Amino acid sequence: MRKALLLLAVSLPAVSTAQIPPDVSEFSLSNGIPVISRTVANNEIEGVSLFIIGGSSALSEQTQGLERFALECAVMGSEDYPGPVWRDLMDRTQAQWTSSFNYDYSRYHLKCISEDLAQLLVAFGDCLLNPELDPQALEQVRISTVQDLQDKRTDPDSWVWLVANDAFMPGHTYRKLPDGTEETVSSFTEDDVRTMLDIRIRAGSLLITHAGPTAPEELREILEAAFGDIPAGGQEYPPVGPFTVDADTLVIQQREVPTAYVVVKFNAPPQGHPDLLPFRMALTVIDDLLWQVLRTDNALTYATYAGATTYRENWGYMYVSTPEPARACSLMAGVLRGMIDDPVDGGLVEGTIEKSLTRMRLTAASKADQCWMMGSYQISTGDWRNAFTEVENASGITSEELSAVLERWIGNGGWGIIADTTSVNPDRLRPWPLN
Amino acid sequence: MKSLFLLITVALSSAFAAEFQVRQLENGLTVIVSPDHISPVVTICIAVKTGATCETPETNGLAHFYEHMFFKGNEALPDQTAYNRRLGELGILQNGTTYPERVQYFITLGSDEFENGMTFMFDAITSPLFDMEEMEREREVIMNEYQRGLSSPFYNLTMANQEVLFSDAPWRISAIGVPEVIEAAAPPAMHDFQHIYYTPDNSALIIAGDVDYDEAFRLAEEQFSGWEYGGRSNYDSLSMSISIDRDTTVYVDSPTGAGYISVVFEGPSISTDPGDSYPADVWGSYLALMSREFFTDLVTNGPFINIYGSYYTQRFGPSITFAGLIPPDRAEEGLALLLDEIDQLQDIDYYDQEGIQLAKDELHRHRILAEETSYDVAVESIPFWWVVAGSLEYYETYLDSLSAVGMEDIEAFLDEWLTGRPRAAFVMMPLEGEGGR
Repeated sequence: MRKALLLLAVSLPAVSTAQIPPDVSEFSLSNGIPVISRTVANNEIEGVSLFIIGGSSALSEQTQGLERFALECAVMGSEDYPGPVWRDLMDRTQAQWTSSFNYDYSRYHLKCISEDLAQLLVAFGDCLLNPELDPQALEQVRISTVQDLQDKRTDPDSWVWLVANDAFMPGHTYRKLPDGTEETVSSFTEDDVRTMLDIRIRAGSLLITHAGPTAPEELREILEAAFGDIPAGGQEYPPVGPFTVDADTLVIQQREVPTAYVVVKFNAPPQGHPDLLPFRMALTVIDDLLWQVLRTDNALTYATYAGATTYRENWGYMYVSTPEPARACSLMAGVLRGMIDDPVDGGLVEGTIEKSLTRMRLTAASKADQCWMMGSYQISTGDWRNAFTEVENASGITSEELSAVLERWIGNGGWGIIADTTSVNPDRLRPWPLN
Repeated sequence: MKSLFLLITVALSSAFAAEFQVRQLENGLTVIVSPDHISPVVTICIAVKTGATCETPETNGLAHFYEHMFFKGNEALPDQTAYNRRLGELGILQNGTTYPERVQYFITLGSDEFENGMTFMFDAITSPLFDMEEMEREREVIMNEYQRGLSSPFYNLTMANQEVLFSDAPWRISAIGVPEVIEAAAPPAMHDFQHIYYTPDNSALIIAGDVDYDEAFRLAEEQFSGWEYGGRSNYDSLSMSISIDRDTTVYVDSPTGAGYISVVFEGPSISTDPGDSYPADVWGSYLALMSREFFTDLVTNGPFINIYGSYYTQRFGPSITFAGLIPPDRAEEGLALLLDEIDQLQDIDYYDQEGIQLAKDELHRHRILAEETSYDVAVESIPFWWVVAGSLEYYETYLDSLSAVGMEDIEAFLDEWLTGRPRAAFVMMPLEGEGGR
């Protein structure tokens, strides 16, 4: 539950603009689709991301996974680029497509050589507006998606995150999974796909980001040809409610695994809240502390980390795989409580910020990452510039402020553990208080 | 000051791929620099010709253990606290990877700290402490890494591959090693590894990012000339590790319920048959074309969810692999179809000239797309080619050599490496109730 001190956000230093790249243009297509483009001419590689706002939170229990399924089916071919023609185009261009799907939006990213950009985007636009939806291709997508879901369910490293959801967000709209379930994906029809695409592929639901050598004027023409016919409009999405965890909760799933997997989730500031940046910095410091305490000092794990999400409603998380979950969880919770009670050494905070700055600069070298940064920050904060200024703006934050922001937000935790309870004593597993 | 660089190779690669220059220090260290000023960061990587392929059953896992100890302190930063503090001061992101045929260590930091980053890497590579207490703790960390591997859905398949394809020396493909060796590892074994393999003449220093050639080579010379020449590595004289001497089919239980089929042949070694590696790559690229027979027969009109056929460039364990996901209830049918397709593709009429040209174009584009960032160049691309090919000459001339591949080269490659050659087939599917096969 959120604390009453919600309004006592830390005072951030003046906004710095030193890291904002100067070569970014913003414009809209004739149907209103906003475009953010960074002109980068260091090589002949283009990156274009299409963000489709909606996500699984805008779906129902029965339709969870439909947004992903519909989009994946659409990019199997179109009226002007039926399957064999589309595949031939992919062969000739070696275009690399990546996609991701979350609670609030989906994203398709294209990486290609500059000379292929126009043709690929026109074909992609046709897939979205006039998908072929060949029944055989639909079945291929279905089989592949169901297999993917089965793999995730079997892999304890993936599944433990959803076990934690049972503890942290029962009944919340984010329980609906972006990838869907084996049951829902098995039930979708061609009509479901067409209806979904008709709802989502609307100018008001889309955002395009670009990074590459193509100049804004030329890019506008290319994008207009590819996406200019997408109809106006877009869905109004209902607000997402906060997470309410009435008590520290633990869900254990028994499996014959040689090491236990643990995730704990807890409340974090929502999108747009001024506490979100210092909260995320605090979790980055905790990420370093977990490594030091659990791995370096106590040799309890190979993998441990912490962080916070950037959705409309957010959570912080800590993760560990360990053969001694009781001891590791106790230490993990202790790290968090310790940082709340006793501000960490200022040098640790400065070091964490320095590493974050390197990470941000490294991200700015990849066009795919730049497209993601600009798009996701535009969606989650309303201004793409925050992607470049965030770390520097955090540089004045003190360890006392980080403790304070954790104190304000950390409430009850939702713990998920996958362990072999024949070798790990379940009586020693309990929800460890975080605050 | 007299330059300690022995020879200079200026290697500007083709128009769109990453630019780089190569020099060699008197102590044998190869230095490769690739400037890219798109963002103020630099990645420094040290690649070492070692890995599981250098191990014996008694040392299987030590190359990987050594990699962990690289990050545990050295003469300049004598404990973990000092080491971690320095990471924060310099804003360093670090990692290391142990493969069967190479080990590499890499850091990324702001280019304004480049000189300090070079010092950091020199200290870490030349004077690791191998403190016994640190080793005791790290042993448990590595054991947890091993345990995580046991939970992988592909663990059974990995083990089957190891036992069947590398039957003479299965440890040479297993980087993580075996628990008995991990549990017994001690400082003397680490020092032995250091003595033999961690020498400049067995290593390459790769610098990519927001740096200039002159500054990078100057700092490399200043800071790494003091690394003492070794001349003790046996890496270049190791024997082949892969060995398939008869047709074999292995059924492996699938814990996820997924179906997966692979068929593997021995491939040409880049050290003994480098000329065969070019048609091998063009041929694999042809099979990746979704508009051609291999994909349409097996995926578009067949039972596979996906499929590939490709050559994996290695020195000691090169392979030619056909593999794909398939619904488990169609796995038996899929194996028969795949073996039939493999028979067909040994005939040169299976291929068309336009497709071969497309395959060559594909490899050119792949090189461009795979080397987008300086991190890609320093960590993913150059270390691999430097180690497996033994120098960067192969990498420099790779695209030109691909262009020269003709249909007759493909035919010769098929005759040499597929026709009449033994293969190992692996079928992963649920085997419950069948007691394994």
